[in-house]
Parts: sequence; C-alpha cells; structure tokens
Amino acid sequence: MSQTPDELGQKIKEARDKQSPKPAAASTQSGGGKALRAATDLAAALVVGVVLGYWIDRWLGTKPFGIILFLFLGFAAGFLNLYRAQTGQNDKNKG
Amino acid sequence: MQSPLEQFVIKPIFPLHLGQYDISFTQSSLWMVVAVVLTTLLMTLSVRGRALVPGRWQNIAEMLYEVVFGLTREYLHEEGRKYFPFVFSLFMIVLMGNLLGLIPYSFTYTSHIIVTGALALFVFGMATLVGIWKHKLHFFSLFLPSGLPMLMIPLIIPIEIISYLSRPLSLSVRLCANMMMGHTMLKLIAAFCASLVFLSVGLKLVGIIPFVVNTALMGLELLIAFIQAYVFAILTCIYLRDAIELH
Amino acid sequence: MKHPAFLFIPAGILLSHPALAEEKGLPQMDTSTFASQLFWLFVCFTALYLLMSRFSLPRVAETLEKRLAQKEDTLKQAGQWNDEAAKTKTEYEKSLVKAQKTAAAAAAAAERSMSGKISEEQARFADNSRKRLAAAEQNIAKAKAEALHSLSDIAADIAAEMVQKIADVQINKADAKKAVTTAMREG
Repeated sequence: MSQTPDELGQKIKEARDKQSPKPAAASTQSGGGKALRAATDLAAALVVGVVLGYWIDRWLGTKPFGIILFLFLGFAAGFLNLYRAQTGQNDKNKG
Repeated sequence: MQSPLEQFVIKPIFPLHLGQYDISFTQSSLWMVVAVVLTTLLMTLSVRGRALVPGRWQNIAEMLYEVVFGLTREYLHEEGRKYFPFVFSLFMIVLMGNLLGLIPYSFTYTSHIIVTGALALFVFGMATLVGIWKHKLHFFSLFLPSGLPMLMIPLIIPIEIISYLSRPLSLSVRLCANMMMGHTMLKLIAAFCASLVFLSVGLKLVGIIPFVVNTALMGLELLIAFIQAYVFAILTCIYLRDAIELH
Repeated sequence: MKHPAFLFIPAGILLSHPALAEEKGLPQMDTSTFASQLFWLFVCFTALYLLMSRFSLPRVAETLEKRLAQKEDTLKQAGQWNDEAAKTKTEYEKSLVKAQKTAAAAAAAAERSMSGKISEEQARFADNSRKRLAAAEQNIAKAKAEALHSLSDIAADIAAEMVQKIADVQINKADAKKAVTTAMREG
C-alpha cells in the first residue's frame, strides 16, 4: 500500500477532477423518438397555424384567405421547427 | 375483447362539485396524489439519515436530484438555482405519472392530453412571462432573427410566432402520445397472451412469445417513461433559457 | 430502439377500432373530465412544488454539500500530508547527501591521520630495532672478545702444560700467553 508522494499526489488530483461535476451527458435519441418528435413538431405548427388563421378569419371576416395563408405559414413554421431540432439550435436535439 | 382504450377512461371515485364544475376525485386524481406522496417519501425519508455514504434509496434520490440539477445548471447556469425546485417538481410529476402507469391496473395520468397540455402550457406561459418581465418589450425580438432582409420580415415574424406557439403543443402531444401508445401496446399484447390461455396446450406454448415480447416492452417502457420526463425537464429549461437569454 | 415507429401500428389499430365509432371517441377527448383533471393536477403540482422546495430539496442539497465538503476536506488533508511527506522526503535526501559528504570527509581525515601515525610508528620501530641490533652486535663482539680472551688464557695454560710435559721445561705463564696470542693472530 505504500506509494511515493508523487503517486499519491496524482491520485488526489484525479479525485479532485472527478469531483468537479461534468455537464449532463447528452442523451442519444432513438430513430423512433426522432421520428415522433419530427411528426409532432410539424403537426403542432400546422395546427397552430390553422387555429390562428381561423381566428383571424373570424375576427377580420377574411374567410377563407386567413386560414389558407396561415396553413402555409404553419407549414413553414413546422419546417423551421424541424430544422432547429435537427441542427440542435433549439435544444441540442433532445426529445 | 375489451377495448384497449378502456384503461384511459376516467372513473370517479367520489363525486365532487365546485360551483358548476365537476371536480370529482377520480382514479386519475388518486394516482396524482400517489405520485406526490411517493415523491415526497422518496426525497425525504431516503435522505433522512443524511448518510455520507448513501444507501440504495438515498442514491436514487440523489441521482434524480443531480440529473435535474445538472440540467438546470447546464441550460440556465447560476439562474438555474431559482428554477430548480420548479423543474424538479415538474420532472417528478411526469416521471411518476409515467412509471406508476406501468403498474398493471393502474392509471397513467400523463396519457391524457389535458394534463400534459396543462403542464406544457404552464411552462410556456411562465417562460414567456419571465421573458417579458426580464426584457420588457425587447423580449419580442425573439421573433426577429438578426441579419434578415427587410422584405422577409413580414413573412418571418408570423412563422416565428407560430413556431414559438407550437412548442408547448408539440411537447404535450408527444408526451401524451408516447404514454398512450406504449400502454396500449402493452395492453394489446397482454390481452393477446391471456386469450391464448383458452387454446389447446400446444398453442399455449405460443403464448410465451407475446409474453416475452411484453416483458421486453415493459423494459422499454420504463426507459421511455424516464426519457419522456427528462425531455420534459430539458424543454422546460430550454424555454426558460430562451426567455432569459433571448439567444 | 425503434419503438415509436412500430408503435404507429397499434395507434392505427386503435384509431380504427370499432369501439371508437360506437362510443364517444378517445377517452382523452372527453371534455367533461377536464375540470376535474385540471383541478387535481393543480392541487397536486402545487403540493409537490411546496413540499419539494420548502422541505425535501434543501435536505438533499444539504447532504450533498456536506459530502462535498467532507470530500474536499479529506482531499485537502491528504494533499497536505502528501506535501509534508514530499518535503520530508527531500529533506531526508538532502541530509542523506550531507551525511555522506561528512562521512567521506571524516574517512579521508582518519586515513590521513592514520597514515601519519603509521609512518611515525614505522620509523620508531625501525630506529628501535636498529638500536637494539647495534647493542646486540656490541654484546656479541664483547662476548666474542671475552671468549677469545679466556680462550687464549686456556690455550696458554694448555701450551705451558704441554711444553712442560713434552720438553719438561718450566715456562713462564706470561711468555706462553704471548706466544699463543701471536700464534692465534697469525693462524
């Protein structure tokens, strides 16, 4: 069990390093998880777009242009979501 | 065959009314209470000894604590301390809902969109309020990516707003869909197993196959229960970070 | 883990289930339960949040901090002891080198003084033995002379007696001796 001070010093340093907490390891999401995430991200944006369009139509009486316009905007927003999820800009690709 | 959706039907235990609203104590409420009690017991009793060398339960409690604490620190840095109890409670209520739902004949309250939706909307609303309170009107620059040609602005702003609003919807639908599909699958295969019992001896052996599949699926569902709660906690941290830092 | 991909299949089965057509639809869409769920979720979440933030989490934090502090202390202590050990080691090595030097110097000095003494002793011994030798030689010479002297006396006596017996001539003892000495000197 005897060790030189140098060896012991190394051990102490290692223990210190271990102690300083590392950032949580990024969870690797499965292919299925990614697919579900992509599906909900896209669908959610579409739904929000349609609902907004519907409200705007009712509010401004622009039926049916609002809903059509916002359907496309929702689609675009859905792809923006997908793009952000993919590049990890939004959240490091988790979920 | 009983509908596999039967397990998601909410059944009142004792009726209760508040004004015009029906707030009956249901089996969903029961499992929420169980989740709160179990979480509190786990996080209190297991660390009661405050042992320096933790036992198994204390280890679990500390692991949960450190997972969530790590998340808040990673995304929110020092600011994270303030939001940590909130994120932790959210994580635990989702995790407990997912896990308790795996017990046969129990109820998975996280499989209901109203529950996950309320949680996600709450997070979303809180993050937005924190953002507005912190940055005042400047908060809305969140919807305006920098370095954009003037012509694109009227197009991009609604898209960004839709994208922002769609986040809680996506989050809650995903959690709810995960829980619902997983539990339905388990139920379907289990029912298939059970129905094979009435067949001849030779075919009974075939019943082992779906049983094995179900066992494997159970393990998978445990993992998914944890991952979904983790995802919920991460996204909460991300919404808060976006609101606090405005990229 | 490709799970949700194949979970879309039961989802499809579910949504096409005949029960859906007959009944109200998905139980999740039964709005009559929403108030109860929201109410109890609010109650439970608030309770959980209060319990966690006021009660449980500070305790866990305390334990973790205590452990961290303990660990830090132990490591600090270990580091201190290690430093001391290292210091002692270098001191020991230094003193070892010093001791070796001193020992070497002492050995050299001892050798030097020893060799001085030895040569001195040797010289004295040589001197002594020379003196003793000289004395011994002197004694021998003296003894030899004495012996020779007494021998010439005896020889003179014998010669006088022989002369008397052979030639019946009475000779003076001094003459005899003189003759013997002369003969001895020539012979």
